[in-house]
Amino acid sequence: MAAFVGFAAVGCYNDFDMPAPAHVYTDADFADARIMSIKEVKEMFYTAYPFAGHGAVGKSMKIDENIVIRGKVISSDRANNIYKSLYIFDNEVSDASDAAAIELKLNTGNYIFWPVGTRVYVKLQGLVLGDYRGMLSVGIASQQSNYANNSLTGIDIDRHVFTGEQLAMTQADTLVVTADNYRSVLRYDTNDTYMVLGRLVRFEGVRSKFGKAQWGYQNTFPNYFANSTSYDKNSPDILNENIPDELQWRNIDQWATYAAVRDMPTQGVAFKSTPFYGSAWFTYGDISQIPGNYVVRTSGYARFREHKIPADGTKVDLTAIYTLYTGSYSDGGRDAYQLALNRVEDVVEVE
Amino acid sequence: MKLKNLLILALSLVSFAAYAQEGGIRGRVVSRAGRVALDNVKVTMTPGDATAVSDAQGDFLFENIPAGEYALTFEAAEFEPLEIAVRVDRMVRDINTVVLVPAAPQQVLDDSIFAEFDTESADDAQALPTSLSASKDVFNNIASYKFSEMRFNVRGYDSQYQDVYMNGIQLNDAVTGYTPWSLWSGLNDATRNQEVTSGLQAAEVGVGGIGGTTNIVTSPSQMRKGLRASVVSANQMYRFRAMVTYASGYQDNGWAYAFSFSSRQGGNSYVDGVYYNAYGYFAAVEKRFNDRHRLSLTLLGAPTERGAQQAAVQEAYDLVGNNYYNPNWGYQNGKKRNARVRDNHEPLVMMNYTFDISDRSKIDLATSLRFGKNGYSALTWQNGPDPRPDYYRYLPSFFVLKQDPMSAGLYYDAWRANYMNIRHFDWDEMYRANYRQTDPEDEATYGPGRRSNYIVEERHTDQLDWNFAANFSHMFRNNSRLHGGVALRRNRTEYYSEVKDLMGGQYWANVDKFAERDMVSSPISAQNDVEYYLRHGHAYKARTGDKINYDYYAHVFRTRGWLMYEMSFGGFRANVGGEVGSAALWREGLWRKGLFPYNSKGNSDVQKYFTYKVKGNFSYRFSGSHAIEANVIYMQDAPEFQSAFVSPRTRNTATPGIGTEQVLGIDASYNLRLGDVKARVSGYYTTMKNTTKVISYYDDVAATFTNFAMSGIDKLHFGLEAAVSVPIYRGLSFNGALSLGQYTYDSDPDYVQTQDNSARIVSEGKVYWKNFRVESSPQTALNLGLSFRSNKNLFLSVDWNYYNNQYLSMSPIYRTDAVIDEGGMSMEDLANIRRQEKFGSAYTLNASIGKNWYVQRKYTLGFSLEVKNILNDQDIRTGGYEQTRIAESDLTSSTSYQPFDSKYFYMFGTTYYLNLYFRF
Repeated sequence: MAAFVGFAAVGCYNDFDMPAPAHVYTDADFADARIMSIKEVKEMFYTAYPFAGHGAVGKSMKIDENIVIRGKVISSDRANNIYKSLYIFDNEVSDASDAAAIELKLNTGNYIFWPVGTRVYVKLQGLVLGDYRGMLSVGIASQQSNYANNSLTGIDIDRHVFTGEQLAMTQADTLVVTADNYRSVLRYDTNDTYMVLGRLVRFEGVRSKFGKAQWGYQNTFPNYFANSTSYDKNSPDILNENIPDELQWRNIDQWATYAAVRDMPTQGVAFKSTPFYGSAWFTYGDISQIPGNYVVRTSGYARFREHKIPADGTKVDLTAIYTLYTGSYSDGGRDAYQLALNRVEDVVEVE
Repeated sequence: MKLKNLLILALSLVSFAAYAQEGGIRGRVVSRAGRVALDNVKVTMTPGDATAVSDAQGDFLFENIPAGEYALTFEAAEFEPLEIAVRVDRMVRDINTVVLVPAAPQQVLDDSIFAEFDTESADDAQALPTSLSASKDVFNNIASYKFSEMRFNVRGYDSQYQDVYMNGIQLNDAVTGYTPWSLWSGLNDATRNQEVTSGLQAAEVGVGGIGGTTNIVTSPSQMRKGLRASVVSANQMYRFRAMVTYASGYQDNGWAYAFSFSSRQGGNSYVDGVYYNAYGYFAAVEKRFNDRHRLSLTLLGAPTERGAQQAAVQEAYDLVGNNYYNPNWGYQNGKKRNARVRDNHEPLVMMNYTFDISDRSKIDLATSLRFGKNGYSALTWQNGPDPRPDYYRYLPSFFVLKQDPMSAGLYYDAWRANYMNIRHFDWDEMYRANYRQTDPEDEATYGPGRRSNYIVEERHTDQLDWNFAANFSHMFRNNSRLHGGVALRRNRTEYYSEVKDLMGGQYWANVDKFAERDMVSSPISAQNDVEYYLRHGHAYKARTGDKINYDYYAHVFRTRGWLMYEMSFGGFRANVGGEVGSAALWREGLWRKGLFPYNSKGNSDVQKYFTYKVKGNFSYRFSGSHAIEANVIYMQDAPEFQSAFVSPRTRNTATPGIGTEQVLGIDASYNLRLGDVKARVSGYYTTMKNTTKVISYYDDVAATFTNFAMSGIDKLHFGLEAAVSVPIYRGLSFNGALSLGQYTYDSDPDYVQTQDNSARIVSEGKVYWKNFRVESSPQTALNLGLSFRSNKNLFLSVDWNYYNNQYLSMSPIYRTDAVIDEGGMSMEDLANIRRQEKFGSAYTLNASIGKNWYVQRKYTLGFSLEVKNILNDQDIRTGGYEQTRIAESDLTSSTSYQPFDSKYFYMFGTTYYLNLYFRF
């Protein structure tokens, strides 16, 4: 009986202490490594594979040296638009013009572990820098020929990505572009255009534009893309009774949203819920050439996909991650500068 | 056993003088040890089926019986049943002393034996053997206990086909139909008195179904008087059990009472992260007002917390290096923590009234209430990568499919070395992520505080179950008997989830994350509780203990009335009767769900079903040794609540094609009882028609969460059972049992697959699985055993068991036209996917030893030790299931799919169970 009473007091199966907060990494934790700026790492890559002339597209570089980069998180995948990427911005440089950002190819839900403003350290040794159509990123070696590198797996992340302190976002973290300065600030036609790629950029006073572009692939905007096919307002109807007339492609100008999900006919099942990337065009006015024209490209998984693109001609301030999509390996004629929104609230109508 | 029967036969051959002119039988029942008088021994006389109960002096008496040959059966808890033949003339025959032998020191099953099998897809309760009771039938005794190691189901039936009663009230779960053993789990002593019928035989308390009936009698006057205490050391389910029980017997003032307490603690030797923290309590009191009226009150409960094991894919087992890997746990601050914990406490209170109207008629009234909490915890998360360690993307095979050998190698090495505890949950990391959740967007919506991304939720099925039963029996002058009753059941089960642990965060937002992802047009779609949202402008900020995700009642109201007529003439005996009843099922949503604002709150349409049973039991006894019997039943029953609604978490919609289920069962047996030689051979044939099942899963082809509702599922079970028990020499006996069955799906059911978010039909058609095997139980099982009982109370046994024809539980999805067609897979690939996996045959060797000592003819001290799987075979699969999801493969040029690997359970290696007991 005594034993019975004795063990009745046992009840520790579910008493757990709260784990201590994670270690906050600082430069001191990487004393044995060479801390390089993101600018220097980008330069290292583009010295080996010059950016100009698109010679770097598809190239990769494995880092064998014990190099560490650090930067403040400027992207958020919370809205599910930015996918498996984390953009970090390094402005711990003596000259503001040397501030640079780079894409880390990670997992989903990065905002949970690295909210905007978090300082992140990346041990590059063993990782691979790769240029995918003009955008440099940090990843692991890819086994697929069409990718210069791949996303880090969970184990890779544990080994290479370290979380530092939580910092406040400042004005200096955002590059501001206007109709007057976009050519110089965004370093068009220079050999180091890559320096601004991946940065958080605020485009002030840019206008939404519906219609056919005269640059790049001369696409009609807005358009929607899935399964290797692009659909614009000239595309045939989707043969699916679930899609009402007003949501057919030919009526895009009436419903244009940042992205879309449509039930596409699929063998075997009655429908397949198919996400479409959406492309919206914003311009500073000169629609005949690439500079000053930007495509806000939005994932069909984005939570704000059903938000409407500002109507044709609407003037907005727009803050987004600035990226490049090189359309051709041989020349820049089909390039497009694409913008990835962290959240739809970063598009603000100004008139 | 043999010695005992010789003694009895010798005694019964001696006849003594008559005391009266009418025929009768009198005697005294004593225990072999110390010749102590045994009260409350039930003595049944056949033909005539008169019963008597021995009094405090052990005496019993039958009077006014015609001359002839009778069989007397003696039954008492913890004693071997005994049957003797008595010839009666026109006087009362005194057979003097009848000696009962204590039952073998064999452990009585409790549900914990099966508790390690814990999955959501293959529900563990469903996999319980259908016969847990220590039956007196020579076959069922072996099948229910010795085959339990292999999750053997007698005749392949699921547990809902076994009727389990307590004191005349049927307690099978009102919502699932499953047997309710967990309600009194660990209270073995208090629930030891059981009236068991097997197969199609009707019971004293009801018509019964096809899987036998067990009525547990908890009346304290029926329990063996005295105190007993036992301590168990084991390594299979728990490490330690202690139990103490006391029964007063009838006091002079007509009161009797009994109580029992038990506790089970600890884990086992094979699976990490599992444990028992379980208690049991039982109290019963009974008052005999006079010879005719008795009233009793019983309260019992088994507050149980236990960490569960999850099945895993073979790849994970191989990487870890054993078949007992449990993905459910991880370290938190260096201490093992299991995410999946069952925590239930459902007290049962019951009142019984018995009115013995006359020696031939009686009425029993009973009412019961079950209430309390029944939770099962799980880790849940709002966003980000799946934290489960064995998620398919974290296993090397995923990277092989992705043609990434480098990562495959990295993960292989990491799993082998358990690099950074990759095999387990990373609780610390999840806490630390929650510490960081102070997103301005959340603060704008919900105010200050950390919004947890990871929590432990606890999914509840909390029952309020009220029962009433009134049974009567009357024996006519010709010794035929009519018995019957009415029963009412009203059940309201609340299904909800609640926050169990915020894991370092400060609140959980009560939104539907799947709807939030898929239905982005309006924030209302993602609301679990729209009305709260409309009042406050945001979802509820749930703290620990608050309800989240879903909240609804399952309502069940059932009535039934039954009547059996039992007669016998000569050696022929028949028991015929039937039951009619009704079942009403409806759902009552407590929240208005954003996805289905007009079909989620309030009452659904009431589904009404007419139920009935027609049953006949017929037997013919050629002599005291040979008998045959045949039984038949046809019954129509209502579907279970969980099959009746297509997505009860979200809405009131009934399952397409829902209807009553029909069961036809026929069996026939030959029984032999020649001295101590016992044997039975039976054949059975059962069809179950028009059952319904709903599965909810993420469909990778349609890329959406769906509900897959099947109707018109038919099953066919037939087979042969044989068992024998033969004394060999001086206490040494041979026992054996064989179960040869074939359990198949007998139709290609219709299915309708709907999108969970919108109720739209994704696909519909047929599931092609006719003639495929019914899963769960080995369809061939063989036992060969030797047992020895010395006259010094030593008991030894050794058993060899063999199993074959066990099949993996199938996912119906792979067997439809809709699936896996997109990439134009070859017929061979499709055939491979649709093939049903058969497990290899297996055998085990088990042994037990026990001994007890009588101290001063008053106390009993004893032990029993059972060792199972002595050959320590750790590769015996006892069950498993196909996963519903399929994975896209990059290995071929066109898109192709392959099923996720199946998950398996394995029998433990060598285990022991040592029980030390004391009683007086």
